[in-house]
Amino acid sequence: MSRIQIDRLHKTFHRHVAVRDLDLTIENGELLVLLGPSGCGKTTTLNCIAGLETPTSGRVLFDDEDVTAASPHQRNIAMVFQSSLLYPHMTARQNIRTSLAKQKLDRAETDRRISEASSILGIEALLDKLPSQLSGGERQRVATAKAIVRQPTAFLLDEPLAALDAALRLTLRAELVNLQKRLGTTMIVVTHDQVEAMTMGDRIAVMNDGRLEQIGTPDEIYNRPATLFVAGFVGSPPMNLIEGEIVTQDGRTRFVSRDLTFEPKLAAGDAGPATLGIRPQHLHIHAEGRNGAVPVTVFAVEHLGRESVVILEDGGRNKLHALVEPGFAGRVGDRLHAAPDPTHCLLFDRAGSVLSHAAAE
Amino acid sequence: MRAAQRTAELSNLQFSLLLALPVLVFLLLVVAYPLGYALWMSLHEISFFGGYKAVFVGVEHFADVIGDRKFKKSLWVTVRFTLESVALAMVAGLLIALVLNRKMRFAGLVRTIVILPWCISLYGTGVIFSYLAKGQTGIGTAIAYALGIEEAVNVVNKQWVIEVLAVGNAWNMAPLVAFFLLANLKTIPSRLYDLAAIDRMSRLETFLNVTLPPLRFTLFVFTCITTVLSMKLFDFIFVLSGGGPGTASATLTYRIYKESFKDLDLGYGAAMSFMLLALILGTTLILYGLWGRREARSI
Repeated sequence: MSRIQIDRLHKTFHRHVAVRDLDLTIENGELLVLLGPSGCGKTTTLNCIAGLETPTSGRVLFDDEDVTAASPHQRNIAMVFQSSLLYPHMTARQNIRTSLAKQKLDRAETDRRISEASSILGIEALLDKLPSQLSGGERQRVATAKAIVRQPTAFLLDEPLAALDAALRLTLRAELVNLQKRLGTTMIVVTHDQVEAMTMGDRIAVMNDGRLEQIGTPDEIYNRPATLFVAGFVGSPPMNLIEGEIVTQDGRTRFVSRDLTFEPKLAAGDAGPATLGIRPQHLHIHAEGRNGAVPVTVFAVEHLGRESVVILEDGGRNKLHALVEPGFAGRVGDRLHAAPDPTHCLLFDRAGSVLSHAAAE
Repeated sequence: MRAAQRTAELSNLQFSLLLALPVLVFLLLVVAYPLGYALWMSLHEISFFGGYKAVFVGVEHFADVIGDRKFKKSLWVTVRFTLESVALAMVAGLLIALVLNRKMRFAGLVRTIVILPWCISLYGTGVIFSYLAKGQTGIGTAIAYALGIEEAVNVVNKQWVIEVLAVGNAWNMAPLVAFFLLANLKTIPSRLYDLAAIDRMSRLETFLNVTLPPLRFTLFVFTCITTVLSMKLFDFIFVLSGGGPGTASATLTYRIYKESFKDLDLGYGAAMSFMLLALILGTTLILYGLWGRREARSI
């Protein structure tokens, strides 16, 4: 168990900058998710924490001890890779045993640890099978057992569930979180799946283009995104983003776009180009036109059972998503009006930073 | 209408036999007929002088071959040449594959250059290596002169000619081995090396546990292929050493050629060629029994 600090981490490959001046602290016993699109630097960051890559500059600290130059096993980390990588010619038991091969444990202790890890993950019956004889979920469990058997200071997981089917992913992500909480070991999970990040993380660090966009609890990331990128990346269906500008007149701030003139309940911002962000559940559909509403055409309706998603098209052919009651009767081509909730909207400046959050959450 | 019915009545087996017919006829002509003819010859004493004559002698030729000292010598030459060729080709192939698998600049160009030896005919390889090894033109002499020794170094001698042949043969075969091994190496996920690093494996352990397992089946297959190719190799030896000096490099193939076409003892040569066939079949069966069965199971 340990607290992991990343201090001005910088990593370049040839001329490509993978990670730029990253500062990050992972608390002892915390489950932190590194979230971002592919190529954002999250896996490189994980590799630097693991000791598989050497940072170009910056430091990695485990419990205030500089381990930047230490090898992976000196850091005593355990890692689970995408598609639950195992040595293909070894049985599950042999795979787990290799984690302990260099630990100088006696045979009885090794066997005790293996059987303990196997019973935690419920894989006792699979121990003498080869990876090729296991299903994706079973392999994932074996890979996890291989990781916990070492009793590491930290678990590092690189897209651990990406290769599994949707139903299995749902089960296993809960199992992983449960396991992490029971063992109390610091865990870092890399994923590009925002649902996975939201459901698993104590905190989420959103990365983009080698930079940390925002770090916070799932609630903070979802409800108070710091940047336009975070707002657009997290949430399903995605947040609606409407480009326009802020006009300040007579001490009142208005947001004006092609189709919309809207008065958000926000602290006054500086006038200039801006983007309005509004979650689908805060975009209300009306049959009649009104102030602060965009005229839209129904493009598609997706029934999800508990609710429905209406995809709308505004005059500039931008798609907007709105969550509606399951009984929504609109048809493709219907002309409607979409009004953002003035108390639940966000404004971003041209650089993508949030200007101010709605006054009341 | 009736024609359509007839087509429908053709069973799957009949249809596949029909499709395979041209190949079966072709194989009958180019494999079965010569093989049968060779068997017939091996049981006859064939003479050309004073008119063509073929007298049935039964297994007399086979009995003679077994007692023939020259045959035993050639058998030993073949075994030695094959062992050296296969060992060199496999080790060189593996090393080349490992080098090519590294990230490097101009990888495509390097790969193209490396495959070139395989594209050269064995006849051409024979000519090249005969120049390289002989005293007048060889690299041995060149190195000796560079060191100030005024003496030609000829490695095509009784002592070393088999090694020269094995090196040339391996030079020709190794690129193909390397390319198949490289294809296997490319299938290893790079993350498996990271896993090995986390498991604190040494370089040797990583090689044995990560790199080698996916290569083992290919290594077996190519050990068989290079063994068979080396045992039945003729043109390269004919060009490079002509079985000499003396009979120092007279492999079984060369001995068969000499008995059959120079001494015109076709029956005896044919009997000897069946011994070679038995050697090839026996060796590959032993290889399969000792090694291949295990690899095939693990896939």
